[in-house]
Amino acid sequence: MKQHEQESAVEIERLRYRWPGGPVMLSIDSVKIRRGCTMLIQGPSGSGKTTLLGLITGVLSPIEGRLHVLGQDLTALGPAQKDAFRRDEMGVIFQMFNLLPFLTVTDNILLPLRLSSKRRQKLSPLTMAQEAHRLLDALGLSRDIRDRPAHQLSVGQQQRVAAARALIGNPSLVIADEPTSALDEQNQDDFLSLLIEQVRATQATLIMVSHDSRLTGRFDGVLKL
Amino acid sequence: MNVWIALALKSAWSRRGPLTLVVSAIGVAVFLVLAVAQIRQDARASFSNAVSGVDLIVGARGSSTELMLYSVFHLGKPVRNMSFGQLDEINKFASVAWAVPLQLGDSYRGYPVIGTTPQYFSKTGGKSGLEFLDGQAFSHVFDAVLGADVAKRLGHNVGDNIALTHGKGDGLARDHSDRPFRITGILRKTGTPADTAVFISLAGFQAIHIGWEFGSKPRQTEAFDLNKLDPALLQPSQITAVLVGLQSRTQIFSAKRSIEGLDNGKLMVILPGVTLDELWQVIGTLEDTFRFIGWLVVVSTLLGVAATLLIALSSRRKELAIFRALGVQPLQLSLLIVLESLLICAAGLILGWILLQVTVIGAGDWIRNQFGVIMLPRLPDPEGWWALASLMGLSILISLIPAWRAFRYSLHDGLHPPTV
Repeated sequence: MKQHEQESAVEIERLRYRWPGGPVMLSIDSVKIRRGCTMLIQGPSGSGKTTLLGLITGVLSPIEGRLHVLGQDLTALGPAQKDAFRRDEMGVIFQMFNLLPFLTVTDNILLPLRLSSKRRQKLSPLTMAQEAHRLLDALGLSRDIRDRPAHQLSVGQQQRVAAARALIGNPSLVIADEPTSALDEQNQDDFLSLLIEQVRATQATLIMVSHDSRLTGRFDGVLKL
Repeated sequence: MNVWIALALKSAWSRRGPLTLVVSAIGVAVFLVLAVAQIRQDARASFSNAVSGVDLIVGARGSSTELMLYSVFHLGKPVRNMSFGQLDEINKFASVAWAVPLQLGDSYRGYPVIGTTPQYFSKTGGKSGLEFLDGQAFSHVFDAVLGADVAKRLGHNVGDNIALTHGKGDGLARDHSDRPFRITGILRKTGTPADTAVFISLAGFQAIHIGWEFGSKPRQTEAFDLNKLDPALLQPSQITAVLVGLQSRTQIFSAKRSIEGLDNGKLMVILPGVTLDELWQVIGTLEDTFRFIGWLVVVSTLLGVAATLLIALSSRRKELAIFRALGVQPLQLSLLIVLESLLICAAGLILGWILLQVTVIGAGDWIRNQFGVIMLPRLPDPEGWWALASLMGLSILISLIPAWRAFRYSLHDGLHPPTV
């Protein structure tokens, strides 16, 4: 049983969520996402895709049900512990506005390392800046944007920098919420290829929400809500 | 550097335009509070320094505050004089170590002229007495000693001749130009009222007033000739006040009683320290008012800071969501807001202090001439530090408003702020 849980990135049973005082927004009977796989979550607007990501990242708490992430029972953790868990084990990419505008590209990428000693420790023998620049190269970003303020980048560049930030320090779980929907088609393909390639390289699990059905074939599995 | 301080600094730097205005506003408020505190301290220090060494002041019966103001600070005008003969009587008491007479009323180009004895220079002005930068005390009737500031501002040197003015008035008809004085000495700067005074002998004070008994300039029948004058005319009959030093400070109250018994009780004896305290009590209400106004300005400024942070916050909800995604707790985000406000406030404090020092350096001379208060640039005194610490405390307190809002936003928004 223990071994079985270790193999799952996410295990959900009879999970229900609602806003305090509101109607039930999400109800899932059973979902299991294997470690190291790439999973696409699809569903119409209002089906609770984003809410599910909120639950998995520990920003929201379910009203009932079983929720294990990376072998950890999230319902057993307090808010601060869940924040620490997310800080140490997860990388998150939004649809847009991923970067702090007052920091440079490099400083944005380094933020998870500065906030989490656990992710910092996974780096050696590389220095923090070396790792940030390695990821910039791997995601096809030119070196001369390293020291630019984040707000000067194009949307396509911003999304790649956000991916670099989510990947730095080798988190076990990468969460992406519509990361390609602000990009044009060519950029979408490139971005997704690079993201999946990097996630596979670190044996992390990728859970991505998208309404774009063309992407289905590029993932190991699809969860329809 | 700590990651949070670095983040707060970089975030503030990216909004440096509006924040400069906010910091300036705090700077002005801090300037006000520190200035009130420093003026209060420096006024007290200057005035206490000026009376140091003098145990008692004797004058004609009247207002004790006025007696002290004109005898020590050369401010205001004596209303009544005392008889010169009482000086000898005062000197007869065994407890009296020294007694220096003062005669006031004339001026030189706006600076008060004081008739006294050379003893004045050795007995007043603190422990070391008044030192001469150049020359020496007066010894002849028409000799004069200048305070450091008088000599410096008017460009006088030892050996120059000067014409004194009757009373404080200007105008040709009221000057003593027919009886010029020769400068024999210039005092070293002390930071006391002696810096802005002209000293002459009592005989000199008598000599320029011969023929002025009715208060106006005598008709010029013949040139004034000191040698033809009856020496008895140079003997003063009245003086304004007597500064007294005692053998021992334990005798203050008995000496006070003894002197008050002289001349049928027409004399008044004051303890300069006690009278100063009375003066401060009167002024204290005014000081409190100023301090209150200063703090009102501080509070309104800090509320402005809170409003600025609050407004900025609604456009920064996306940043809060990014921090949440990175595993930052809502409480930590609140602390980040508090930290930002602290940094802004600290910058304002430093600016306010610098503003005050610049003002003190720039306007110090003017303040001293107008009010007799010596202000020097310096670090805040305990009262100033206390004020600065309270300001920081207040800024933390007020920043809790935007901090609380940030807390609510980050809890409510989670990873998905409303698109603004």
